[in-house]
Amino acid sequence: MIVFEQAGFVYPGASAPAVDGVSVEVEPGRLLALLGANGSGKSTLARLGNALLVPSTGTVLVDGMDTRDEDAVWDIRSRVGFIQQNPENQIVGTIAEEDVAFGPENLGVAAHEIRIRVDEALEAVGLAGFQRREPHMLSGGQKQRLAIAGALAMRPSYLIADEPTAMLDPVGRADVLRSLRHLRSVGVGVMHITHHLEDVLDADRIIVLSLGRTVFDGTPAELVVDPGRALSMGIELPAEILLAHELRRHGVRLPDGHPAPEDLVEALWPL
Amino acid sequence: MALVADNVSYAYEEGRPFGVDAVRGVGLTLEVGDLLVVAGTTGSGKSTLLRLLAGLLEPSTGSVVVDGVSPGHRDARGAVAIVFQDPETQFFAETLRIDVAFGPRNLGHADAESAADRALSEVGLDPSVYGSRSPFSLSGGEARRGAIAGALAMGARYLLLDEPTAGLDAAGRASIRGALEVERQRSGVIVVTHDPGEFLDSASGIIALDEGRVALSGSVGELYADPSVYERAGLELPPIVRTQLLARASGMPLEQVTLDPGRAAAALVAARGMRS
Amino acid sequence: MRVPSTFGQYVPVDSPVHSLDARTKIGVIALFTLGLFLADGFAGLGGYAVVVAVVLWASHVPPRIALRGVRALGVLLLFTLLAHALRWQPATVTLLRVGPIGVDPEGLRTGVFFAMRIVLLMVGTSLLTLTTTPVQLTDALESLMRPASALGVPSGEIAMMLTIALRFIPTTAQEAERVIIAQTARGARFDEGGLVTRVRAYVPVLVPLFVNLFRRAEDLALAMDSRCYRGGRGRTRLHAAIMTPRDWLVLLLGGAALLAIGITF
Repeated sequence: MIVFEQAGFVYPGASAPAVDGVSVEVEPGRLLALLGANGSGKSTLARLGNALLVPSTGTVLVDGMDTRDEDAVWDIRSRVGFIQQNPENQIVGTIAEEDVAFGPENLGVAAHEIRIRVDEALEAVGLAGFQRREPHMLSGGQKQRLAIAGALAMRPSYLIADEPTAMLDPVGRADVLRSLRHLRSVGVGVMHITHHLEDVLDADRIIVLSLGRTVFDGTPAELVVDPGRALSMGIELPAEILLAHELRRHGVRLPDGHPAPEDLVEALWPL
Repeated sequence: MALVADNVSYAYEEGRPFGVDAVRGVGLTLEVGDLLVVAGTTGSGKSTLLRLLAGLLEPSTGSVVVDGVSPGHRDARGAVAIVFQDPETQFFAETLRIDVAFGPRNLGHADAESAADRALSEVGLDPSVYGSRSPFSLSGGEARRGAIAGALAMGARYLLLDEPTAGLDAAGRASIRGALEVERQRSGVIVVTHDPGEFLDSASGIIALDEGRVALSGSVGELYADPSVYERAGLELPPIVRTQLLARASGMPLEQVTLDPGRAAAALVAARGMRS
Repeated sequence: MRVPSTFGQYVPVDSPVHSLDARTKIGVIALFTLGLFLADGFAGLGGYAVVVAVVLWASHVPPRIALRGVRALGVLLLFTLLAHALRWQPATVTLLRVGPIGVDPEGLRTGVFFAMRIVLLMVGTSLLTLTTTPVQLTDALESLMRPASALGVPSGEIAMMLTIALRFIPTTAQEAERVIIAQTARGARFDEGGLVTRVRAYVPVLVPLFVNLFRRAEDLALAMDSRCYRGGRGRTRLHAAIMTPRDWLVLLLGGAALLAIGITF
């Protein structure tokens, strides 16, 4: 488990903390979504999770190891994969398999074992057969999945994804979301940072940050219950969810949660 | 007076990086007051089409005509402005005003700075506040609007934008849509995007590209009447629109389809009331 | 599969040449280059031309791609040819005479010889980069530099820097093209005025290019940290380069043969 305990961080020279007393856990096989407007501290919290930054106040523990412990840093990072918004900028290798191999190579894994991990990781993100492909010949979504494969090859227990779909088209975005769901299903703990609620409506838990503080901690269903409150936290609910709210306000009886178009019409106009 | 593409085609040489794709026999007409949405997935040729319309590429066959002359003609100089994806990554000057004035100055306009200030006001950035700020210090939505002002300042009659709202949060997207509505009063606007959902209420027309060809061309109403071609081109309608189209298909007498949840709900409830 | 557009860029196919160790290829090409400069007759060049043609065929690299660089060298080749062949008001008999300029047959011969040598050098050496990935190349350099590690030279880190530089060449080229087109669309001209004007015209391209490169460098540093990069120590490799008997055979026999051509002819 990754445990953030009252974690806080102040950038050198900043007057206010970027993250201020946040407590949350990333658990194996669960998807934690982290939402918030630009500048709410999401990316800083992400970096606290794999010792790219260490907390100024509070603690961050990864499987019991304190990220402040300098001897544990590499062990921590090998357990916590990290991918960023711009897929282009995190690819080190000149062809796909060399990039995926980069992590295990750094960990000193034996060559034949690296080969197995590389092929497995590419397969897991739907890029089997792309071993020799050059990064600039890949689409944005493929590059981002390559980055995920690069993290997977280190056999991490957790993956922190910082706005992984922000620069992708709908197809690439759907592919990346599918890959992240796949990881959850095989037991990886995923922390997905985004400003699109649509991306994480199936999260196991959502926290919303505002000015570095937790302003919401609960399930997606609990978040979408109150559009006004969500908006005050900088979260615009998807139009179809607002439509369901409006219909309920007009006295239409709808199924719970956020019903699909088919269910809405069925409720409005039963044939 | 219009920007017209007549049966234009363009093919790149082999070995281009991903996402730069051919255009095959595309035609369109853009007039002042239009907001034309060109929708397509990555690789549909939409960015190439934009470059052809801006005169940055020469069509292999077919022609582009700007108010009766070719894009290279003296009279067409500055008539078409283009805003590429992530335009804020092209800032270079110390102040936003100097950056925005770059275009008009290159065109030899006498008073580039006041053109820049006018453009900044049009996109909702008060020139007395933002003009002297560094373009690198702006927030996402402000930077995007500043970059769009750089195109507006050139005094173009036709404004072409590639994914103008990509990567912005809700507030940033709304500010861009507002700026385009203002701009539309005096010029024709084309928005090229893989996710046209947010423009469906305001678009005067929509063109869907599929592998470089026009799969669909018409009004948004015509799109709603038969969205199958659009979906075959790999594009998706927003769920709120699909709900209303589904309601219509199951026999609800729904006149207007809208992105606005409040109006959509009221119309659906009213339509339901007509049953009994 | 699409073919890369940059001259000398790796062509990802399988061939007996691709599978050779990069150090073998570097060694053979060094001897090829040495031999090429030792050869002083057309027979020698002919021999090398045959060798280059055979290796090119064996490499499965489309000749069109291998020859792409020759076109880029056109001006240099023409200059080499003309500089040797043309004489100003020649006193002796010449092949052809137009006004004060004459074509000297001996000079023409020399010019053709030098031009051919440039072409062979170009195509021969490009076979290295066409059949070897940049990472294999930098690994080979690291291995060849290893003796220097004992003297404190950070060969692993230098190799990593080279790899990353190579990795970002296409990205940076695409980015530069993107910014140039965007600024062109805003009326920027890059082909007018004197030298100073032209250099200044590139400011609106270079500033955003560097700003974006710094941003990339920051992201990349985070990505490398996250993936546990801590210098060359303790790293293993996916493709641990091993000199096979075949490599030694090619290096020793091939190298000797190439050198022999140069010395003999």
